[in-house]
Amino acid sequence: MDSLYLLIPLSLVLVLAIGGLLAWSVLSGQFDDLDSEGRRILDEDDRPRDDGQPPGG
Amino acid sequence: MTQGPSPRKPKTPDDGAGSTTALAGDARAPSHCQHCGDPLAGLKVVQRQIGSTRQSFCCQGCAFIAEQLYLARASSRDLAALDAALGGARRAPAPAAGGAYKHEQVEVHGMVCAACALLIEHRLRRAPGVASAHVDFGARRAYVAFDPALTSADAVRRAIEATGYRTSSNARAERRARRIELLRVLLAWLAMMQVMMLAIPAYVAAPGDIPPDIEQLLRIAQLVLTVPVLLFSAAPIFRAAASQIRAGAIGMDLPVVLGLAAAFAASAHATAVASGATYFDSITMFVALVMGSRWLQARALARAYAHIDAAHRQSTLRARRLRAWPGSMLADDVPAQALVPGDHVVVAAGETVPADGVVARGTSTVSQAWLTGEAAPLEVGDGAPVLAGSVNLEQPLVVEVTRAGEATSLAALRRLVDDAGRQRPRIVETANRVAVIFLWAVLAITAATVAGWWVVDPAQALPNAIAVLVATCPCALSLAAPAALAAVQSALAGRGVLTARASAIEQLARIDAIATDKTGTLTEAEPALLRTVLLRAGVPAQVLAVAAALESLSTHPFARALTRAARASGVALPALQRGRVEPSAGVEAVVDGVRLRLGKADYALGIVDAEPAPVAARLLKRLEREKLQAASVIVMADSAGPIALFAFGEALRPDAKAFVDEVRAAGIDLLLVSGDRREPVANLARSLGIAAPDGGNVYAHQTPDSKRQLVAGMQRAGRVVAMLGDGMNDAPVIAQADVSIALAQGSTLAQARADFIVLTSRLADVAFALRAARRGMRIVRQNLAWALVYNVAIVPLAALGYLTPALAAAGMAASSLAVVANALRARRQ
Repeated sequence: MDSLYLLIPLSLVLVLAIGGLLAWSVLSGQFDDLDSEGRRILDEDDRPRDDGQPPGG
Repeated sequence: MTQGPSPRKPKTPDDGAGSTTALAGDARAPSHCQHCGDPLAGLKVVQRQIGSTRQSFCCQGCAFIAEQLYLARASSRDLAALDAALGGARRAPAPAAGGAYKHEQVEVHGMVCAACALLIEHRLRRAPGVASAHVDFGARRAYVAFDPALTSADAVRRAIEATGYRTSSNARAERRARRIELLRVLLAWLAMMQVMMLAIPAYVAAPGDIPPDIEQLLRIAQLVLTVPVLLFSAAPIFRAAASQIRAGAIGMDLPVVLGLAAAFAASAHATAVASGATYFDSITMFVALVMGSRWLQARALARAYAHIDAAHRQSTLRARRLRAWPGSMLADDVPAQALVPGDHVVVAAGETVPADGVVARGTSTVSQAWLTGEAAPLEVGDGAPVLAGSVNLEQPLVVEVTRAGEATSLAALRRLVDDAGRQRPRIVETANRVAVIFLWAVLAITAATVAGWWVVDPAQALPNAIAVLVATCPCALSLAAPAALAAVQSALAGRGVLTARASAIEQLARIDAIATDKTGTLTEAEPALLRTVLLRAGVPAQVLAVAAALESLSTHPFARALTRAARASGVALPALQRGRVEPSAGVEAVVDGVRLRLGKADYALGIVDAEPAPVAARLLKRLEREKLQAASVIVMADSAGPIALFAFGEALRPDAKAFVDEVRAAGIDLLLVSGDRREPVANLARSLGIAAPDGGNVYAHQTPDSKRQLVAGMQRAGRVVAMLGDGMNDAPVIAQADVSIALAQGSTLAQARADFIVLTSRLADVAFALRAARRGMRIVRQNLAWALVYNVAIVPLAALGYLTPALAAAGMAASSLAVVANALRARRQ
């Protein structure tokens, strides 16, 4: 049972780290468009993707 | 809009003394804004005391300008005084000094005319820290430069909202807000799963199995994970509750917050003293469920409107404007926003039409999928209207722009969707009415629990009171109405029915009468060729072809109907020579060497060699025999006399009969109110089976105001009345009716005003909206009933101390899930 004193705080640290990672990925826009990424690989066109920014914005 | 007080300002300060009213006779019941002259019908009229008279304006902006004009004139007749009164509104925005100012672009909604833009500019310039403000009425945007040390973008937005207009931040801020909403949900779910794991030992272990220090460690770990969920993920719930307290309007969020706070306080206390039950798992689960379902609703709606959004984004891209049409085809690449009416643009196959306009050259097919959600292509040729956002499918087209930028139907639709999205929170009204009673009941029962246990066993008083608060936390109740109504809204959007006012769904479900317009609603918007009467021997198809060829010169609705009929019969049109159009009479041309006229009887008979009077008399007799109205008949004639008669009339929409039957089967009275003559209205009513035996339910010769009185009279009799029309011509009755539905007619969409706008213009979709609204409200009632029963049943258990944390958590989750699952049924058809 003594190992729990280490494991529970460790799991907390891990959760916080995962939470931070999640925050970074969401805020950097990786979840903005979940639909077209799957279809992109089927496109024949290999042009770099449009970053979705409005022109000049 | 920096060039003057108002670009449409019809008066100068010199006209009339002492008052800005130009038309004194209008002062009692003005039909137009007394500053800008726009019609007031359908608007929320602003009244203001100007000098000695009370005047009506279309918006705060106009009222403000009129007031300033009056004050300026009272002191001086000099325009400069007016300028000073307006706070230097004519001054160009000051350049930012040393780049220390921050520039912000804010979208402003609710501006009616250019005066509104000026009013906002004026207010913004007086705001502390604002260096310059410029409001572009056309683009519906405010450009503000401010000192970040003194004010913030939020403060600027609040200043605009305090003036009475609505704002939305620029795209970047909106995108960030969307991401943060998602993050709230994801973090809540992550924390919920972890808290569950840490909470499970307490549920499964026999008492005394877990050493007390491990138990305490588990509590602390759960506390650490719950705090960010409450502070970050649940922040919108707390904010909503706070604004409800400030506004003095108790809503469902308040009892929810009370329950959450009580549960957290009890759990935190248990952690601090290292004994007692904790509710951390219930808290995180509830927040995860609520935020998750809110996010799913928002996403479902966003998806339903995605095709409009996509078309909008495309159309804000680029346009190829012809430099010197029709002389040359040289084109400049410009933003679509830069187009103005009168420009010519070339649209290649596969490209999106950048603005509303008419085809100036070329024939092709276009897809208006953004409008109707259907990809069925539409044939267009010279003179045919095309709408911004449509995709040109086949051949290049040259389009003359008639409406560009924010004036297009597409932009109007986009604004509607934006406004509808913003109104969504209001739909919880139903639940909120219950919430007030609920809150007091919960507080009373909690107090009773404390009092009761104080007598029996004081040590149990506090834990049981908290159990009551947690158990009665109306999570399910708070989800009941919004989840179901959002599901209805998204189902409607999927069928091309736009909900401009979400709270109207409730009213639509309650209606027991529909007042419907005739032309363009039950009938097609355009007249159709009903009969062809040959007055001489001939092949009907040939005669029709000649008539259609003649009418190709005209743009009259009858001409279009003839052309359509000829196209449907598939005959080739003969060539014309020496064509000539006589406005509002008819056309004349030479076909196969014969001079022909087609138009009103007296005009067409003017070509006849013989004495016209007997010929006209014979024609009139023939008309009578055929039971035709002279007004809806055109005549084709040559020098030898009349050749043929073409009778036009309104064609019933193909789904009109089915619609009428369905509405009446649903127990709703259908009233036909029309401005048309009695006979055609009665004919139509008979063919649809609307007319009551006593001739009731059918009203001809109606003016907009008599329609309004009719509806008002029914409402006084306790009826709930919907108005079905084109959303444009009947502003008074649309405002009077409990709920209004408009069948959008493509190019007039921008002017349509109604609670529901049927983009497909199909009556079947109106019937669908009716069904969906009724079904949705039934589900709301089921949800409310279930949530109430659950909460009422659980209270005695909690008050008597029988409710363990495990039971409370399970009950809370189960009731919330049941309500959300039930709500999702509203999306199925």
